[in-house]
Order: sequence, then C-alpha cells, then structure tokens
Amino acid sequence: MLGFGILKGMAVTLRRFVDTYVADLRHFPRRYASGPVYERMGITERGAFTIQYPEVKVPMFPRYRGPLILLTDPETGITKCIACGLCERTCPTESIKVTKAEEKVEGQKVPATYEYDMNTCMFCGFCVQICPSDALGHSPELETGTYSKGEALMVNLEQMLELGRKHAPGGVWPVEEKEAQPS
Amino acid sequence: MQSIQGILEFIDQIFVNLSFWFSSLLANYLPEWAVTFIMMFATVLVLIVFGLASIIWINIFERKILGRIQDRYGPNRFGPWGLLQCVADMVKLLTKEDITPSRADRLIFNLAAVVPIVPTFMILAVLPFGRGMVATDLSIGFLYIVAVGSLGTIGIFMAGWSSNNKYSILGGMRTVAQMVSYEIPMVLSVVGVILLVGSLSMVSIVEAQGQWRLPFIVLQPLAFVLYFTAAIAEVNRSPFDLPEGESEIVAGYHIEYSGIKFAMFLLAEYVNAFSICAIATTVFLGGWQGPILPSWAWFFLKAYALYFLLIWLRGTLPRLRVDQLMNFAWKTLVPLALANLMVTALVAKLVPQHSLVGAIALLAANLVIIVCIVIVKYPRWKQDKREVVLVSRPPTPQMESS
Repeated sequence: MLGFGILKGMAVTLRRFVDTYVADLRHFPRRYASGPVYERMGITERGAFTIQYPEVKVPMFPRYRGPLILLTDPETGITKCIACGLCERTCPTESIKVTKAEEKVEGQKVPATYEYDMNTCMFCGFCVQICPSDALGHSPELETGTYSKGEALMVNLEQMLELGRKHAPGGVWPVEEKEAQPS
Repeated sequence: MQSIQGILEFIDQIFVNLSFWFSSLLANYLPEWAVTFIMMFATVLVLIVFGLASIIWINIFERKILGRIQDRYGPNRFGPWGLLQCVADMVKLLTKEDITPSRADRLIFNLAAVVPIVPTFMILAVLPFGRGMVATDLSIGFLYIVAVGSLGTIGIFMAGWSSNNKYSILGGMRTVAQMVSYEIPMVLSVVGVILLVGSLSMVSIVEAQGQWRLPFIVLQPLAFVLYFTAAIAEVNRSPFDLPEGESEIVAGYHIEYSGIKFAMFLLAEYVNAFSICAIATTVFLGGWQGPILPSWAWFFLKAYALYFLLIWLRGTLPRLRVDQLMNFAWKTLVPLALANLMVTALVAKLVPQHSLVGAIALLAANLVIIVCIVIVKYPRWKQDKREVVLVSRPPTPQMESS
C-alpha cells in the first residue's frame, strides 16, 4: 500500500548491508579467511560470502577432472598401471604415450615411460574410465598455468607418480570427500 | 571559550579567507580588473577540480555500499581497502581505443561527449557549499539550476541520435521523454519552498531556513519526497535508469562510446547525482546550517548522507517499465506537486512567517494532502489483499481410442 513495499524492501537491503559489517567485526581482522568456505555460504549465515580467491582456495569437489595422475598401490608400493596402452589408444587428442618395461616387477607389468602432454589434453576423462586396473585419476589441481607452452606442460612418469602419491595417497580415485584437500 | 569560538570561526571561514588572501596578494601586482578576472578563473578552476576529484571517492563509496548491500565486498584490491580503484578504472578508460562508428555523424558524435558535462559543472556555481562559500549568488539561483540542468538532455539525445544505432536512439528518446516529464514535478515541488522564502536565490533559501529555525523538510515533507523522486529520474539513476536499461537496450545512448568519451558520460552522471543531492540539501535540509561543525562540513555531511540514500534506493528497487514511468510522473507526481503547491500557498498566506505555529500548520497541511491522496488513489487500502479465485475448468475432451 502506497510505498510501504518500498520501505520494506529498503529495510531488507539495509539489514544485509549492516550484517556484512557485523560479520566482519565478529571475525576481526579477517572475515574472508575464517572458517570453511561452504559453511560461510550457508543460507542461515549472514555477511558477505565472497571468496577472496588468491588468499582463500575452495577445495575442489572429489570428481573434479584436473590433470592426470598415476596411482600407486600403497601396500606394494608399485604403480597400478599395467602398461596395457588402452589410455593411449582411447585418447581423442593423442596426449598419452606409454611404453612397457621389459621386466616385470613382482609379477606385474609396469610402464617404462609415460608421457602425458597437457598442451593437448582436453580433460575428457576417457582414459580414466577405460583403465582396466583403475590406475589413472584426476588431480584436484586448479592452477596449471605456465608462462610458455611445450615442455612446461609435458608430464613424465616420475612426475605423474609423484602427483598420484600426493593427491591420492590411498591409491584410489575419486578420493573420499573428507580427504579432498585444496590444492 | 572565546578562543574556541575563534578557532571554530577560523575553520568555518578558512576557504573564504584563503580566497581573500589570494586576491589581496594579487592586488599588489596587478590592476583591479585583472584580479577580478583571475579570481573568477580560480573559482571556476576550484569547482571543476572539486567535481572531477569527487568522482574518486563517490565512485568507491557507491561501489562499496552497493557491494555490501548485495552481500559482497566490492572493490578491495587496488590501494588500501581498494580505495584507489577509481584510478585504475580511469587509467583503463583513458588508454582504451577511442572508436567512432563509420556511419556515425562524426561532428555531433564527438560533440555529444562534451555537452552533458558542461551544465553539470555550471550547476555547481550557484550552490552554497558553506557560509559565504558560493561562486556566484545569483538572485535567480533555482531558475538557473532548472534551466541549465535541462541542457544535459540535449547532449544525451545528440549522443543517442548521432551514434546511428537503434539501441542508442531508443535510449535517447527515452531520456528526452523521461527528463521532460520529470522536470515538471521536480520544479513544482520546489516552488512551494520558494513561496515560503520569497526568493529564488540559493543563499537566501538557506538563510530562510535559519530564520524558521527548521529545515524545510519538516515544513514540506511531501515536497522533499517528490523532489527527490523526480530528481533521481532526472539524472537517470536506478530505479529510473531506463535510458541505459541494460536488459532491454544494452547501454542506451552511450552504447557506441568507448575510452575517454565514455568516461565523460560517466563523469557527468556521477557529478549530476551529487549535484541533485547538493540541491536537495540546500533547499530542504538546511544547507550549511548546523551546530558546532564548520558550515562546509555540515553541507558535505548532509549531501553525502543523501547520496547514500540514492545508492540505497539503487540497491533496492528494480527498474520501472516505460509506461509505469510515464504514469508515475503524470498521474502521481504532477497532481501531488500541484496540490502541495496550492495548499502551501494558502497556508503560507494565513499563518505567520518564521513561527512555530506556521511550521505546525504547514506540516499538518502536508499530512492532509498525503491522507487525501491515499483515500483518493487507494479507496480500498484496507482490503488491498488479493483473493485467489479458482475458476473451474471444463473437462478436457477425451480422445476416443480406436
């Protein structure tokens, strides 16, 4: 009735405006670094929910398709990859090159080299799906930017295994939600 | 006590004394006409520099508050708390490519970027920023503001027309329609105040509020609301930002402008928004009058408080439709302003000037108008709840299966 709607709306906006300052004061001096991000974005929570990106990083969701990693079996300590080459053949952009090692390790075939070219990879995840021994996974890596193309984005076997041990220590991908850490 | 008053007086008159000191310094070396000329030039320079510099804090003020209203922080990267954001924006705008469309009317297109800015700064000339701090105390001050203020429309229409773009011409057309319609209630609402003062000069309007010992917002609350509403529409701010309605006509009249020319439009818009707040402060909120603090501090406090209200409205209200906009101007604001004018004229003649009785009578008259309008426009305001009527639908004819 005659402008009361406007006043009501203005009361709402004023409350949101004041609430951001109240929340800032409660988490003085740094609101945006306080507590888990998703908790801060809840509907009952008041105050600004901006994520200040370079300072605060959101943990990636467990099935996020980042760069590839090779998983290691934590019990035996060797890679789960059996160097079958299915990932190489299924890759639509031909970003993977695998060669088989001459000798088996503990009765399992292992790769001698594994070249993963992130320049051309389009993160489709076909290789992860088709892998018969579930040896491939995606890392939750978000910041993969480099200053140049080419060598900087070529990943070899050692690096992939290292990434695998870092991001999926249990040897399983996707990692359980609780274990997922911000990169 | 004496010394404190002396200090306050000194701070109050600091800018006036500075100007006197400068002119007496010049008078030692130059003839009288040259001093007058240089002082005029210096005053204009100060006003323009103030106008340009105020963008730096007005811009950050607006974006921060708007951000907080929308549960985010606003710019907070460049400088302490993001205070230098405007500098970064300006550097970006000035280094951008300056494009003139090949089919545009080149002369008018380039001229249109300059035209809206000129009246914007001309308005600042008659505003009393403090006691004795007015560039020229014109005896027709408010008339001058109205006349000069409507010049901006021409610049915007020139921009809309010369861009040779259907969106910009729509924006330009809307601007003309809107500005012409809203100028009428804006002026009519202030006429009531001018009746009480008996003068068009901005300085005497402020002084009259000292004589009443009340700001005119108490005597004329309806006029203040009408003025502020119409003035928001006049400077094309949200919720009346149809000329640049982004969801309908992309950016309206300045769609083809880039780089420094776009910056000029932006500048004109911000300074305009500040100047309507300054005019409302002068006419309705008692201008520079106030206890303890220096007069210019009071003026800027009140003006920026009104600017906050402007931002607050922008963060709250959605944009009006075109027909709603026109209806609102002609069917609500103009009749209300006329009624306010007539009743004010009547009451001001009957009651004694500069008295509490007069003030109460004027306030009561305003309330009577508001109540009358409520009764006339919303006769069923108590039962304004819509009922949901369920209409039974005829049964859908069934297809016979073969």
